[in-house]
Amino acid sequence: MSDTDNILDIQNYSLSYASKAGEVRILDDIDLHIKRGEVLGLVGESGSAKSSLANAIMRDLTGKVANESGKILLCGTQLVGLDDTAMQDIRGNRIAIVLQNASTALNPTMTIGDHVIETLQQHGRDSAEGLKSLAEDFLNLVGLPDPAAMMKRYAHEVSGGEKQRVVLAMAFACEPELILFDEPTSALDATTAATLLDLFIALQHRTGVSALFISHDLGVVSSIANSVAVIYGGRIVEHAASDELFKEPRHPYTRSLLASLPRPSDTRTGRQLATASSRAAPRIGPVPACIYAGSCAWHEPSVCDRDVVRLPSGVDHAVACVKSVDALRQPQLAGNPAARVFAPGATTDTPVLALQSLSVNYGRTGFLASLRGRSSVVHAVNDVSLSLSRGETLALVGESGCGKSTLAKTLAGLVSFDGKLLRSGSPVSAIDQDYRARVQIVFQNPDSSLNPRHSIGTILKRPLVLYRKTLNARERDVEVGKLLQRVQLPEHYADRYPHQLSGGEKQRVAIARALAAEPEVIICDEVTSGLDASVQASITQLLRTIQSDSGTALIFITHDLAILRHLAHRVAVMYLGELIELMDIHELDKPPYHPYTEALLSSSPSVDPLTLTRRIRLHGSLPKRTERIVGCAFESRCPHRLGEQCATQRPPRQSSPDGHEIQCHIDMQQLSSHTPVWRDLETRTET
Amino acid sequence: MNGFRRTLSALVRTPQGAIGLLLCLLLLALTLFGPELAPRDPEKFHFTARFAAPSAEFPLGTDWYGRDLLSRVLAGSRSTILLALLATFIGTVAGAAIGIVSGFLGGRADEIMMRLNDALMAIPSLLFALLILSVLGSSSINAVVAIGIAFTPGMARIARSVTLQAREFDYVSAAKARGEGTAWIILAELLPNVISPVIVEATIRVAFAVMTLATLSFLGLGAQPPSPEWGLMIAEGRDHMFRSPWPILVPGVAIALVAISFNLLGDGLRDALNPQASS
Repeated sequence: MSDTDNILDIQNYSLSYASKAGEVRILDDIDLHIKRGEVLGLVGESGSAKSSLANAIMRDLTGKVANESGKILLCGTQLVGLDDTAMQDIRGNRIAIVLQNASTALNPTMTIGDHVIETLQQHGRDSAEGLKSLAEDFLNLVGLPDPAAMMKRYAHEVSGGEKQRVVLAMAFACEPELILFDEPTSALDATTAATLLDLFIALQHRTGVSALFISHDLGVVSSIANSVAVIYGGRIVEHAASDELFKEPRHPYTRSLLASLPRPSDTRTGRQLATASSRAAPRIGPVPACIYAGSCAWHEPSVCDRDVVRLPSGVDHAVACVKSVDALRQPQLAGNPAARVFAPGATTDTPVLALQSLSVNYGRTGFLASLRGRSSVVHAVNDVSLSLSRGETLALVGESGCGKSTLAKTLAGLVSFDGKLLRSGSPVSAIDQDYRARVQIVFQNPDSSLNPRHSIGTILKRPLVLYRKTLNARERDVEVGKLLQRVQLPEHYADRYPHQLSGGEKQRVAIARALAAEPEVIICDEVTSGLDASVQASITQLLRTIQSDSGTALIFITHDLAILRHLAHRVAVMYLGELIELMDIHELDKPPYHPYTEALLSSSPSVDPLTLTRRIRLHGSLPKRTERIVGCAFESRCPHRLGEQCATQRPPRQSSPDGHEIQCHIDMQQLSSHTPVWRDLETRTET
Repeated sequence: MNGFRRTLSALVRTPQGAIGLLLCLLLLALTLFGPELAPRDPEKFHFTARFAAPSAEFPLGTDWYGRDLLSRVLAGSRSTILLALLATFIGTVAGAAIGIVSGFLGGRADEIMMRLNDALMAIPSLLFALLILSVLGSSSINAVVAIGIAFTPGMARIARSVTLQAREFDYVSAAKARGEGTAWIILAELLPNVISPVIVEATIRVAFAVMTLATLSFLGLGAQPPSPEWGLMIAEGRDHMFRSPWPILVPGVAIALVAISFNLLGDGLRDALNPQASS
């Protein structure tokens, strides 16, 4: 082993793939190094080639290589050009990789134990008897309860977080020098992801392994990395120590990334989100002097285009920009505060939509199963009561499986329910065409919700045909143009097909389709999830504009709490099908909280130099969804569990005079005395 | 037809697609103009030139009655290929309709339709066609119907499995939430997304249909003599195989050519209709 300080040393590395349209630059002029025991974060938006770098290090190039130059040194060993057998010894043994999707990383026909044992065997540990106990040790190391039992299970028998722990155990099993993480927590729930990150930090301290941590989520990276590199269009544009970079971002791209990211302190400071998104970097054709020139607000051809802008080496805070820091001071955004106009006369009006003890059950118990006393009915939504006023945004938050999407589908008339549903005060007996026209839904993934074989025009005309029967064909065409304008898309998009649009544009089309019916309520089911931060900010802005123009009520479903401050008036928190808390958005910053809300708020990672987040982590497992829960649903994971009563008695619904509702055994007064999740670091407005 | 042109240009870019398309266009020309192109009367006997090898006078030789094989193959192309296409069309439309409806409805209706379908699939298609023919009586058009019915269960399976995938997409949920009728969801939302694997399967089945038709004619259940149907030509030529191979070889090669060209076209279409490949 070489005695260099750097575990990984990437020097002048460039990679391009051949395509029909010509040579496509993937990675360009990359200079990075990771010291022993260092965690380097690599952040960038989708399409920035951040995963391609991990692939290049693993020598798993996915395209047809047109050109590759430069060096990738692992402890002094050049990996570029190394043959496959030599690389085989390095993969797993010296470099391990943890990918986003643990369920595809594990073989469904092998037990967890076999996975770990196979990994150990592959890499030269073959003391037959010791293998099993060694594997158990590793499962224990990654904090899996009862390793011996876990060894015998299959991948489908454990939860997503546990799967990712198994993958982590396999990565650590060979004691590699370097671990590559490619969005390891992106597919997990916030509370699960938070405990997994803690685990990784602890393991990293213990073993001293170096790591490259790739993520689009700046919050996650800020909590784990020592230093951070920002990648745009296959080039590193900024590289600095983690604290330094997030406190004082210098490159215009990094600034725009951070400016579109919501922070917990936003309500206090009145900060608004930047909605200008960066264009995709040019990949084909001549190399621009500055890769960010196409999207940069400060771009001056005379200054910026004189020479190729490179990342300077040997400086602590390297920025690939010719302009000085002072020249890049962001012009302050127009200073209207982000604070929402609260409570739009909610109490007096008849609610647009009201749910009374609404329940949704899935599945049915078969004859044989009922004989054996087993039930397979899933109580997806349990006894939920809510009301929604005109012009209001109600955020529905919770983790996967909490029933929030089921509730959305129920309200959209896709799932049958028990209980009462009132629209403008009158009970809805059957979901009819009139109801459907008034309550529209926008789905999470526009790739799935827009039919790929229909043009945008066809997609938008359909609701017009169904709900606005008075329009003739020509009026419909005009209306489609108007709808596209309302979602800030050019009118000629009507002739395009969904695959010709970007992710954000597709979601705008989906929103336009919901608007076509002139609804009273739009249900937004995770509409910003899968989008880059700047696109998310602009979609949020669009929804606010639509709401203030038309007075439409929104039900905004999300697992991301950070964005709520910029959109919601009220927040409803769901856990395992139950509504456990309902509060005004400004109560999000101070107790009382339901113990689960408290943990959820603490787990959502954010980059906020003004706020310190108190750490609350959840342990314990979720109850089976087919069991009827007698006590509190959160009892098994609650850090404030009182005792037996939590398991055996249904928690009471407590409400305060200002409409804050909490379903918990702990007295609301006592919950108010808990330390807030967020603490101000310094009280100053953003400069 | 923007999508059509896109598919076409993607099709000719793959070698098998380009060759398959070219061959299929040639075959189409044959079916349209074959009988007119025939240099001689396909039914005319030339007793002086029985079992002739290929020569300038008879480019592909003659059979036991001295009939010109080239003219017979050209004359027979229309009935052989057209009948095969017709049989495939019947099987595809019926199968796709059953499959898509069954996949969309799901639940018990799907269960009943698919178990019946499985029962039919358990019978080999040739045997099944023979069974139908023995009920309907032997004639060309009955053979076509029989093959069409025999193809239906396989096609239904394919259409259903694609529909089950397509049904999970949110555009179907969106259409339901919009209050669209079943007909719109099946015809406008599902069908365009399900059709490409069905088309690919259909082109491959054309080759099977040609061969099955030939087999049925060979067994004497399809076209009747003196029709120049290719399968029938082989069946009749069998008796004279040791005197001259040409009466069998010529229609045999013609059948193989049709099978190969439609298979190539099918392979090409599979790539061209894949949205990932054509974008």
